[in-house]
Amino acid sequence: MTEEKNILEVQDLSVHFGHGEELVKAVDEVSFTVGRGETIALVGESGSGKSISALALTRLAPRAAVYAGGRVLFNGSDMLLRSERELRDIRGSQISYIFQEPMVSFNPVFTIGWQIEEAIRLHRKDVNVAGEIERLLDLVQLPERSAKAYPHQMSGGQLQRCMIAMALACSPELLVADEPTTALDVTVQREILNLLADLSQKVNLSVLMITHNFGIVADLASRVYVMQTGKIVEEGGTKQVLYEPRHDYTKQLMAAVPRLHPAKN
Amino acid sequence: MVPTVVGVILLTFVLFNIVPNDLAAIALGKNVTLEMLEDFDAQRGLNKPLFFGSKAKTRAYTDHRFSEGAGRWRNWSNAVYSAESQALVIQPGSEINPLAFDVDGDSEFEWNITFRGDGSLAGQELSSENWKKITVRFQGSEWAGLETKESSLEIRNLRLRRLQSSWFDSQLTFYLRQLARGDLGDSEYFKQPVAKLLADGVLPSLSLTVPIFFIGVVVSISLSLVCAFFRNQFIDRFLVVIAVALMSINYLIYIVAGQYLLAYKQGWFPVWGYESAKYLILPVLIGVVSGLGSNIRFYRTIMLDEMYKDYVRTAFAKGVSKPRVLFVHVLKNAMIPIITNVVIAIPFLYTGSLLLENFFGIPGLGYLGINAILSSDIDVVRALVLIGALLFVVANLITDICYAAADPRVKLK
Amino acid sequence: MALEKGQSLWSDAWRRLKKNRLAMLCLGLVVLFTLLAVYGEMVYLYHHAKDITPSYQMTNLDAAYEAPSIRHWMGTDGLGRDVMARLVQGVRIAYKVGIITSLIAIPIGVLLGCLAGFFGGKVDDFIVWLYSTFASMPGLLFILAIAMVVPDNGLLGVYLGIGLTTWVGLCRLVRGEVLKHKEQTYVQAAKALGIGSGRIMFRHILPNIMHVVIVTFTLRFPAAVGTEVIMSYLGIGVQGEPSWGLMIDSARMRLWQGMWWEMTFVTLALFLLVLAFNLLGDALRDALDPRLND
Repeated sequence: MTEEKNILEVQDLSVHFGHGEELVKAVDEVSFTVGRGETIALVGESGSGKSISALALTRLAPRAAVYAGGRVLFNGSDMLLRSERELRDIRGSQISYIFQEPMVSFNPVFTIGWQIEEAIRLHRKDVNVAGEIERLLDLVQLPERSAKAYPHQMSGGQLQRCMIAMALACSPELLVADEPTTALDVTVQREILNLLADLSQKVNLSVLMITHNFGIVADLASRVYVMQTGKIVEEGGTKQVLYEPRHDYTKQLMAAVPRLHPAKN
Repeated sequence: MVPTVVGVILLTFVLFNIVPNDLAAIALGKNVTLEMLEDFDAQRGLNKPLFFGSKAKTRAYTDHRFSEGAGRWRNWSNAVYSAESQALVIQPGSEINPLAFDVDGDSEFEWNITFRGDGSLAGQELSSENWKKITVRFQGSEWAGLETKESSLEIRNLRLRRLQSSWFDSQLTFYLRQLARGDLGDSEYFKQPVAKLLADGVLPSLSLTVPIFFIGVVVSISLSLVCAFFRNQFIDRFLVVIAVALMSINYLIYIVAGQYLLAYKQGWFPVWGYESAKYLILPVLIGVVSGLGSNIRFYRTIMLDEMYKDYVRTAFAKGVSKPRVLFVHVLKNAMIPIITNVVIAIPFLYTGSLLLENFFGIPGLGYLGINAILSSDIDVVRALVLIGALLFVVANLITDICYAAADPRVKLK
Repeated sequence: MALEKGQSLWSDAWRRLKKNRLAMLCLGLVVLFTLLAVYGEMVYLYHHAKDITPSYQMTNLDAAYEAPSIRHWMGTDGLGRDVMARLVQGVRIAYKVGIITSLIAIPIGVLLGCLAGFFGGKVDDFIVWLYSTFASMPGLLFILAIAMVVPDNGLLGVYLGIGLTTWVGLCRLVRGEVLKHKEQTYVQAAKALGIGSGRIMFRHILPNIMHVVIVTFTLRFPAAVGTEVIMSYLGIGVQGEPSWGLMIDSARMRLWQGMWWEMTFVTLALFLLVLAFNLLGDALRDALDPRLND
């Protein structure tokens, strides 16, 4: 059995909200691919549709969203055609997510350990749960006692590590990271990004990174897609897009990044 | 908590001691003698100054200036008003007791008299050619009247005060002392101590309110979970409209309709009385249904607020099923504000059933309350208001404790 | 800047409200009831001025207990009086209660809420203590107690009772809103410009909290009406005038004897009035709420 070269192929995906006069095409015929073991970046400002695109992969978009067209091929099979039950099996076990604000993305009334355990038990049987939790926490360089802590007792950086640990609990093939470092302090951002880079290599993880920060793109992603108002306006290898942006929008985005030295005219 | 308790006590004091003109008149009605009113006052410390003071008024005698038209003095024999001297003239050889009834023998009293002429007051000689103002003190058990011998006595002004043994003996201190020893007063209507009446009424009230409370909470939370599960779909919107409609039906109507339709017409339940558990079913049913509307809306809002939170998205992204997200993730968080609402409602249970008990003849605190209001049984009303408020304060405290127990983010102060 | 913000909030809200058909229906009902109340008041004043007994008060035992007919659309009550005319008077009394209790509760609630939120510190502590104390009082019983001790046998006790308990919720809301606005930049800017506290409060912050007041009024109005109905049913407050509570009281026993019309129509009128205000209040709150969810 041949493995697909691309773990994820999105073809002409469209996600709409509202209808008639108030129709909003949040995602407008968007296509991108993620190869095995690759880290891809989806870049754009807020409102560009990048987050919805990410959620749409497993039909996690808000209730009001209408999947108006296109295909989402994960390992060759169209996710948009799967039943809710099948998608539930895939979420967390084959495709995992980490989100922007770890402080509110965890349930405040359960311990970290409880929430990681839930992630494990949902998709895996006959497992030494306690041992697994320890292993996962170790993977993200957190002490074992973190399992007993509540989310509010941990810092943003620590929580994001927990989020990563939880996301990797069932060894997913694809990790979708929606602005994972945006809400964190700059120094912590670096740590988390390094962690992600290490892990993706270690376990051969494919990563779809949603971000508006070109620094991250430069560091981690091999290819980048630029989104504006629901459409992809530029794509290509990271070096190429960053140093020789073709589309006006991309140029604007790059120009908007503050630099420490005065701009040369 | 303590400041609120103080505030509650003060507020009841304001309401029952300061606001009313004449509490005794409200309580006892029209056909009563001054002496009965005074007894009522004395029993409740209402014949003392409000906050502090050395002198107090008494109903036995109303201050007179003797220049206006009417007054009890009109009934005094041998006393005529003279316009030229603008004074009351008491004929020689008279004996007048201005007091309407015998005053308290243990207290000391003080007359203030502006007079001219000869006579005596409370046994003390009065003699002056010119207008003179003096003070005469006497013990309550002594003769306190006016006497004239050969000459007449003119009086412009006559005032009576009771002397307090202590400057701090006031209505406020009386009330506080009453509360300190657990004395809630006496019921004029039942001629029993209020505390006893309250104790008797607690059980019947609870037999009504506890079932209403528990059944109500269970049903409301269940229905609100249904709303949250089918968020914004037909059944959710339908339940919301039903809830508002239920809320808009007046409590009276629930009772009247319930009694008429289910008890009288259908004959399923007894209409009135407190004989057995069967008599409680209809009022409990009415109590639950009437509260459903606002409860469902409240719990639904809480559930929906939680459902929009980020951790719900994370749970779905992990592959958690919708029922589990609702019943495990959301519910536990929703419990925190729900507990607040639920515990706070507890003290209101006993006044909430004011009407239910009254209509169905359940001899509980609500029945007692309505009866007291309608018959102006002051002490009972005050006690119920006070106890109700204090229970609320206690419930608030318990809520804080439960909140801290339920929410791992909160520590007790 | 505050004025501009206020205007667009209202026109926005009106736009949103217009789209809600149920809300428009309720608005229509409210307008209808208001007109009835005004008409009722005119009828009352006319008879009062001329010192004649109005038709709805005149007993006519021959016509007692008539079922709904052409002459009496809603039938007659036990004393032969036209139910519909009395119903309209009931609307008038309901409106009197709703408006006057709001006139008591709103100024107190808004003033204290503003003072507490704006000045903070000891002022805030005191006002919070005050409304916490009032909030602890057992609802209906407290209102009845106030009506009992107030030296007057008419509606004054009802007005004060309801008014003095309604201000608490409004005060809390206003205080919350003022606290929110106090931190906003436009207030900081005004302060930096040296504008006095009073001016800031009344010209700048107040317009921005009016939506809370409007919604509260719309939602407390039916509650006040409902409470008055219970009170007049128990015989407290209105004497002689046909309040709905009194009508329900007299209609109750007749219901058991088979005369259903008085109870039915009064109940229906009360229900529709309360429902219309409740739904309208909810819709207003949603329309005025800048947060649009889902």
